[in-house]
Amino acid sequence: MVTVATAAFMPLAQIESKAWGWQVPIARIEHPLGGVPTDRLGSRAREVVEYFVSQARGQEGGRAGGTAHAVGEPVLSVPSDPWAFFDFIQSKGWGDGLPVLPPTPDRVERMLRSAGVPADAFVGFIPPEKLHCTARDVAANCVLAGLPDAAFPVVLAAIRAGLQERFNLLGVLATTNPCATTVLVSGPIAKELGMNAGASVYGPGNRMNATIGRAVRLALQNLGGAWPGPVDKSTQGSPAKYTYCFAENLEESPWGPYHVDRGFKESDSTVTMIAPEGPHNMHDPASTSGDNFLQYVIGSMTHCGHNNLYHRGDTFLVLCPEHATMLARDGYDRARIRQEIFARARVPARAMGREAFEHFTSHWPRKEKIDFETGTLSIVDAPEEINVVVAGGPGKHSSWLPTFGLTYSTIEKL
Amino acid sequence: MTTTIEILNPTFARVSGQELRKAPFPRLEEGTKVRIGFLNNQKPNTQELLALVESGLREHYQVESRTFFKGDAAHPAPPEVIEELSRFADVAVLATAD
Repeated sequence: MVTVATAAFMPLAQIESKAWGWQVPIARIEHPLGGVPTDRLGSRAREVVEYFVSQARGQEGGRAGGTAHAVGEPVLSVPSDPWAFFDFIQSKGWGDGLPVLPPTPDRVERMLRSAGVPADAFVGFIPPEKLHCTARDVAANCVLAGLPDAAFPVVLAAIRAGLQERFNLLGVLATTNPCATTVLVSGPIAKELGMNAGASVYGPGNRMNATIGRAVRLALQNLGGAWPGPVDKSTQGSPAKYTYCFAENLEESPWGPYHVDRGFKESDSTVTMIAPEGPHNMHDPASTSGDNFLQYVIGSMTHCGHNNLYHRGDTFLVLCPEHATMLARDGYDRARIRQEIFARARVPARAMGREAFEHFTSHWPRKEKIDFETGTLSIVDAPEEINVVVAGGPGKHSSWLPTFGLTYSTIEKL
Repeated sequence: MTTTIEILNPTFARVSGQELRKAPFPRLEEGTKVRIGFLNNQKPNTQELLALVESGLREHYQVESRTFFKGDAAHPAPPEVIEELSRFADVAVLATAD
């Protein structure tokens, strides 16, 4: 076989090939491919043909080398000075650009002991490199991120949720989309840990929220090999990729806990992994009825650019307490909100432009036939794909989290 | 003098120890008959590129081809697609990572 990869995507292709245990011939072509007028594709096709012919003549080996993963010694000697340590981690590409803390053996051991988790407990094969990762490996990254010991089980649960097939972790980590691995914590654990579910729920400020999201991201990066640039191909990245973690505001939710809606008991604590863009604000200070506000919500969702329109997947509506209260007062529960949004949040096909419309609808066809001039596209395939959560503090700002699309949120019980 | 401390390597994880296998590629003389399976991940311009590739390969070989689709670019191809592709093709061309 021959895999075709553009130059910019060669490292990712090589790493994935190796992760599957194969040294696969990879034909490198000029980047980009998408968006290039078709009359200029000839040179790229010639690159593939020439490579194919050379392989058929036995002239060239595979290109499965070039791992970005620094699997070296398990214990390292590093500068003790905080600034020098920060420089060291950055020089290796193991950080995220912000200061880090040293994962000394005794500090990591303390974290594991506090959670009662054996150091060699298997966590998973984290993509793209799919190495064998243990609780100790994850804990080292948690210390790096500045995570308090008590939150370690949350990070483990988040990673387990991310490794569920439906989440599509490899796709989420490697995509050009700016989605970020996002942790939603529901249940008693959020309050026990002192997480923020109120004002500034997305940050900044609360150490638990900030370090949980950061620890998950660093662990996935450092243990899976999803390095920004060569492997994490996000075109522009996102501030959300530094950390993205929030807790549900149970005290001010009129509808009960989100995790109960997902089939868990109220006394359970859960972690939901989501792969959304940064939050899209919906500021509605004027609506005095649930009907009017929901129209505003629907208007906020019906635009192009987000992947739910093209690639489906589930999505999250995060309502501030005041908006949620108004909806509940006017007879809306989660089910009714979902039904209304599903029925009415439709984007005019023309808004996409003809080329994008034809590409997306021909390659990922919908059940219904859509006319470009008069048709509309739904943002989800079913009402159940709209998740409704309450979070935030005083004020009239809610948010919508459109996702990567080729992913579904997954949930783990703590 | 720089003082040092020991840390656990945050990127350390156990390698599987599995040897890399080299994906086989048949030796083909010019003019040979070959069945080529194109696996299309439906990224923009992939179909167009593969059509040109097929045309270019026909200048070297007697090509019988089929195109298979993997659903989307962010998931592995379904097992049934892989199976059908492998039953048909002498060589697969998988496109594209971009």
